[in-house]
Amino acid sequence: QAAPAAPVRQSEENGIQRFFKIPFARPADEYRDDGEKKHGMWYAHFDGKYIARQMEVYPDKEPVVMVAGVDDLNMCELSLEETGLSKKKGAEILGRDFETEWAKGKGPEYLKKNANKVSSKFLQKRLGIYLVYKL
Amino acid sequence: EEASGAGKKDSAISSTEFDQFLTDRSAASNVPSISAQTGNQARNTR
Repeated sequence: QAAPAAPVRQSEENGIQRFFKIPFARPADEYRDDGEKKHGMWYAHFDGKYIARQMEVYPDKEPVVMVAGVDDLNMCELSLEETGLSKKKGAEILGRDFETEWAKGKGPEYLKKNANKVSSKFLQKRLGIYLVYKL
Repeated sequence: EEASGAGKKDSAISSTEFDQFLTDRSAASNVPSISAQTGNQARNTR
């Protein structure tokens, strides 16, 4: 029996997983020689409406990875709709592209280390965490 | 020379709040941050 093909967007019961990449450079900087290189890139994984993972990649620093439930103070607190990211052309990237960058930033290790604090249901499932509430 | 007023660029993000967030994060990258990967390096000031 063949398993059904994986959808392009991984849908979970709590929402759709979407991934974005945005340069830190402001629009005016995009036309400068060192604009993108100087400011780096901002990556995000939204689990439904809210951010689940955030990563900041700078040209001269180690990537910084953040996970909702652990690093909330430094993460985007706006909903996906409020960010306007879904309307921004070229901002959305494939999950596999995000995961590639996430792995480069040692995200999987960081995620495992903080598995008990992760708030994203999608990530909890991926980590094998199933919260069981007894009534 | 800069050519101003050439028309609207489609690259602008609609949310100014989000734009501000990105600016803040970018600025934060210029100072040593205490992150999961840098550990407690910032404590060693002396």
